[in-house]
Amino acid sequence: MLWLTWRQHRTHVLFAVLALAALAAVLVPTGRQMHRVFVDSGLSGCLDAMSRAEFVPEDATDCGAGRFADRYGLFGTVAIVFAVLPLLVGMFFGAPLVAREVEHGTHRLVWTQGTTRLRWAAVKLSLVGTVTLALAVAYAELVSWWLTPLARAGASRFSSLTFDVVGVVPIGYTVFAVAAGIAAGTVWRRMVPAMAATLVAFLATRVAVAVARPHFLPVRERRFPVVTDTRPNALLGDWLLDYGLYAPDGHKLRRVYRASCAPAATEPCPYLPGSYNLHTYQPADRFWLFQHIEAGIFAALAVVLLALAVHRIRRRIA
Amino acid sequence: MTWLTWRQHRKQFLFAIIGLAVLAAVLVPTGRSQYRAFDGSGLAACLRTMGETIDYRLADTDCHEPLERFSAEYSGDFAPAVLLIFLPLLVGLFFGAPMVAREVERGTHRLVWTQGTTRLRWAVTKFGLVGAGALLLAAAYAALASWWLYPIAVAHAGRFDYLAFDVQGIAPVGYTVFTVALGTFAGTVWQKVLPAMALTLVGFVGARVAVELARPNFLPPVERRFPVVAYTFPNPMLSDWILDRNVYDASGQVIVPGGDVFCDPPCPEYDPAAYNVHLYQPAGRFWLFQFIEAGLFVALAASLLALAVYRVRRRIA
Repeated sequence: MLWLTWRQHRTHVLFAVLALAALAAVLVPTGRQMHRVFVDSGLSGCLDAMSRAEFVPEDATDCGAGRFADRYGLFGTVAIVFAVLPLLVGMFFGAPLVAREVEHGTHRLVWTQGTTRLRWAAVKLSLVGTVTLALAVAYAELVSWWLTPLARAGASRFSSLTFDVVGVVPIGYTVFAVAAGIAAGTVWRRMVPAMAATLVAFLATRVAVAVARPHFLPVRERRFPVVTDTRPNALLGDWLLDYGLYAPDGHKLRRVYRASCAPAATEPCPYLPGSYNLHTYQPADRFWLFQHIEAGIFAALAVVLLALAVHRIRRRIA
Repeated sequence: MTWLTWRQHRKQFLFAIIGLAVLAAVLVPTGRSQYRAFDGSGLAACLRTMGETIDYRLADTDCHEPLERFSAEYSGDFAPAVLLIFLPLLVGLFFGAPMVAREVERGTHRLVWTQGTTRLRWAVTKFGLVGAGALLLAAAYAALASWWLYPIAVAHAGRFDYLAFDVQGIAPVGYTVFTVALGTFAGTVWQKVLPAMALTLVGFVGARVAVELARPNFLPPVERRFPVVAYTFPNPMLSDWILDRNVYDASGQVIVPGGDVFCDPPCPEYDPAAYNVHLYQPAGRFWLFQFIEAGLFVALAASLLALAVYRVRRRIA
């Protein structure tokens, strides 16, 4: 059974390894170049020495982080494309796993050779699962490393779509996508519908969880006056969810990142005395907690889908 | 044959229409509110009156304030929009790759071919009808995405920039036609659905990346030089596609790679003779580039379809 599974899926594995190698061939040289510029321009050292204070003086340096982020902004956009990698793994590895056998009738040959359905399912699932897991870890590590300088210099790595391609969440998404593909194959039993169902399930779940993500934990508020000579430290990497200028009675005047007047300014401050800025955010140090919550949700969904798939293999497929 | 093709593909078409409707249900309301903000913030009006250069001694010639008002709400919408580049791939995977591969894998083509329908007629009807369906879908989503992306692309890095260019105008239609043709051709070579889909995926990514890398050189880029120490600088909101930017000192040495610098006179940090150089494709070439890009992919699609018809007539048993 082990040999059979390997024999059935080795072309898959070969293609996946080639794809990973192609990805590495693009990411490693470009990433090394970006890391070199990040260190050589002094940006890395300057960011290490940066104040971790919540507010910094108006004229505090950003170490040239803004320029670096502008220069490599395209990398951040390209990284978004990697958000579909887990889906591809689910469609090409997960969906055909059962659907293809049942569509071609090849499962019957195995089941009539003394291999129980449970053993068949367990061997297939665990082998393909292990390989996908290894692949997912490899590409998640690669993309995380690649994006590190940009995440430190630019928008927080917490921001949507950067969060989705780094850390452990891509592994959770991949495991989920593969499980969804396998389960879809036990329900539809034909490959193209199973792949389409995987696509729909993946998109729907990803969107639903991404919408819920800001509320995994209660948001924090940062309130600061309009008349001030400090500004919030943008390099902390907090995930800014909402911001605005509020009147003294607490109603929102307009959505603006920061309205301010210098205390020493000669011209009068146009804002009502007592109005304030309010930022709601998830602090940067919750990054890994959120990563684990999100990956955990997807891993749990994957377990449920796999249990469903095994149940259907044992009871429903003729 | 027409009825048979419709009967075989109507489910796919139904799902595609549902997919398009879901996309429209997301994009139409968000797009309308974007356009409201685009006009309401004054950004639309300001962009219409902007000149080639900005002189910031004059009040607000750079549309800074309306841009900030608009971006405060919508700057986050650009990133998810990038994922629209995968729509052509989905059409190719689900419409193109199974078209021949599925029939041959299951042997159903033999039934048709032994009923007095020639291979050529079979191929032309199938490719024509499914291709026309895919074309309609592509035109609909390209129109929707172009309309939706326009304000955020203009407020972001311009609609000529990488990945913004790829989801607007007629380029997505070209990509879709190409991917469907590629899927069809792959199905005549591998004759099994899964390998045909995998080949479609690889071919799509390969061709797209190759053309993406070639695109800056479709036409020779234009150079623009302007001083570092000055009150005026080129308007960054023109939607020019800036390929490279560097700062040089008087002797022609690069002093700031990959960036530009503006400094009010008198500026002690920079030599007054220092200058910025931009290499760019002017915004006016947007549609020309769209036609070149779409033309390339349509030409590739035509050759792939011709090969597919040849293989159906001569190579499939």
